[in-house]
Amino acid sequence: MPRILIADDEAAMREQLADALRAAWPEAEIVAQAVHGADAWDQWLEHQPDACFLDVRMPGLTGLEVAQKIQGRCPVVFVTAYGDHALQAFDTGAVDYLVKPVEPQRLARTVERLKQRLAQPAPPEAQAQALQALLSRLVPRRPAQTETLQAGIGKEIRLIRVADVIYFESDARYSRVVYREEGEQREALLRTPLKDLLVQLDPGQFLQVHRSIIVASSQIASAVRDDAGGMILKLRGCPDRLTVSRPFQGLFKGQ
Amino acid sequence: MSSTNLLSQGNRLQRAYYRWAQPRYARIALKDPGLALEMEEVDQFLYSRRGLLAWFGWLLGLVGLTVGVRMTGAGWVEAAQFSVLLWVALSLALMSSWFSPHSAGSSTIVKGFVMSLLLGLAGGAIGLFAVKWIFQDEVNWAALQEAANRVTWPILLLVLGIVLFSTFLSWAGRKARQQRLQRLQLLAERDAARAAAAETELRLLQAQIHPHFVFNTLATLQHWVDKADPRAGPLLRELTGFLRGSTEMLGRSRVPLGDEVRAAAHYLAIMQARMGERLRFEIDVDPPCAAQPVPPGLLLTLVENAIEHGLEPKIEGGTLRLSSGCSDRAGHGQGGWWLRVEDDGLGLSPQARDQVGLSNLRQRLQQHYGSRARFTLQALATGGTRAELHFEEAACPAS
Repeated sequence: MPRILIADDEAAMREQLADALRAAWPEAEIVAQAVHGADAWDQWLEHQPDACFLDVRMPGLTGLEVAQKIQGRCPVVFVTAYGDHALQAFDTGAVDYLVKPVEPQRLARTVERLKQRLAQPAPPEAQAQALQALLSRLVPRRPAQTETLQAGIGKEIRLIRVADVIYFESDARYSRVVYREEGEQREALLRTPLKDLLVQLDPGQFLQVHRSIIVASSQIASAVRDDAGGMILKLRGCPDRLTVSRPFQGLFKGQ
Repeated sequence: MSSTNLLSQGNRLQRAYYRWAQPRYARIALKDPGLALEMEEVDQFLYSRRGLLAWFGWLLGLVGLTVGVRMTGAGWVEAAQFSVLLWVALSLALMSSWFSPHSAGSSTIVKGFVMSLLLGLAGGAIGLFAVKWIFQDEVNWAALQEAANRVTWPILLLVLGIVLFSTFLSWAGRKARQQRLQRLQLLAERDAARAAAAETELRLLQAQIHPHFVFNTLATLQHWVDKADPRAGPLLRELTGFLRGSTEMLGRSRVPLGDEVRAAAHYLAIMQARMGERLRFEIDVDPPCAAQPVPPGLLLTLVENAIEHGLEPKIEGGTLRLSSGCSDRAGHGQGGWWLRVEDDGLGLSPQARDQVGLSNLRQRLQQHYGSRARFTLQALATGGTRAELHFEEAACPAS
């Protein structure tokens, strides 16, 4: 039974797409309905679905940015209301796109294509690479949005420089930040969920290595594989060990 | 102005002349386009049927001069010789003074004077030898001396007159060309201004009816209609109100702020229906300000910017506050009034700082108010953006 993720920031549009999908593909299961781009990526990591329907314009991450993170590991269908001409580039290739509100006949064609894709053992590497190249052309580089983070400790609000951060770890609805100040390792709790934090950080300086871990790339000392197929990160001047989950192990391939 | 030269389509002679003259026009046009145009026009006049009368008049003048010189007692041959020389020189001098490109300073006049004196003397000498050779005649030096004595003063006076007159002519010619060039520039500027105005209008149209906005709204509406959702009716009503308001504004040069506020309220209600809890908004406009005339689309641009760049891309969403009031009451100095759109969204990103909408807005403010209106856009310390307009025009009754 194929498992589907859909993402749209407008409730009516999520509902419409979900209804249309249930009619066009009764055997599929909608495992997640994400309400913005960062949520979509988080849910993708959690559910590892077989296909995604992504709204192009979403807060947090755009649909294109989410697709870029997915890296062709599952087929993606973009959904838009109007005028994203760049999407026509996808019309023939690995990815499909739909116009809102989704029409049953058009959706049936998309579902047909998805079924064919899923029947194949694995998408050809070349196709995934071509898609990735196209996406990186279409997605503008996102500037870092924050230089300091505010953490509440009792009645005190502590300002933490992003440059001092070693790593972030998800802690229920909050994020725990581990940082270095005056040569000492400290930690604090941020009121922002990790998935929302991710989009505020410069992707050139921070790497997500697990659904619930983001690490400053300059702090990574080494990545160690274990026998069970897992991977552990060792950090510079910090005894903590971080787990690299499977979707992110590709970041450390060795040259 | 760029009409084709008649000579290029005339008879063989005219075409030949045009072929010869055309590269010269082009050369002159590089330095002085006005001059080249004028030369072309003069040539078109002189070397076509219209110019025949001018040539006839010129010949008549030559004959008149010859007769005049003959009257002073010179022989016919000498008179004709002298007259042709003088008349041709005079015509050329006047023509070139009128067309003298840029340079009719005193030094050029002196140089010209000396040159023409030398040329005249040389011409006279050649003429004398020609007479001697053709008529096999002994030159009557005494008679010549006498004739020279008689004509020296009149000729000197004549030359002085010519120099003065040609100076005047070259000045007048330059002046005429300058005026003509100015007229052309003015015309070009007016055309450019018209084109810019048309473009502004078009951008305004696009700014007011974002297709992205309309189609997204229609998609939501379609879904609610399909599901017989009771929210469909009110949303359709808001959309109709928004479209009517913003299209009716387009044709007008100014609309009361109140109309703009109504259109913005429709827009916000639609966005709220779509974004749900993520969007909240407050509107607080002083009644006297609502009557103030503003360029259409002014407020809507600010509201759309706040939504599009501030609140819609923010995960948690936020609040938009639209307010307007009188400056004296709010402590903004004496007289005038202000209009403010504030949001607690993502804040000013470098890309959002100067989009088409805002530069367009600044332009239109400049057009409508000059320095009597001020626009500021600032990032708030708490995150978010404040766009503020101050108008010097008194809006409110003194309180």
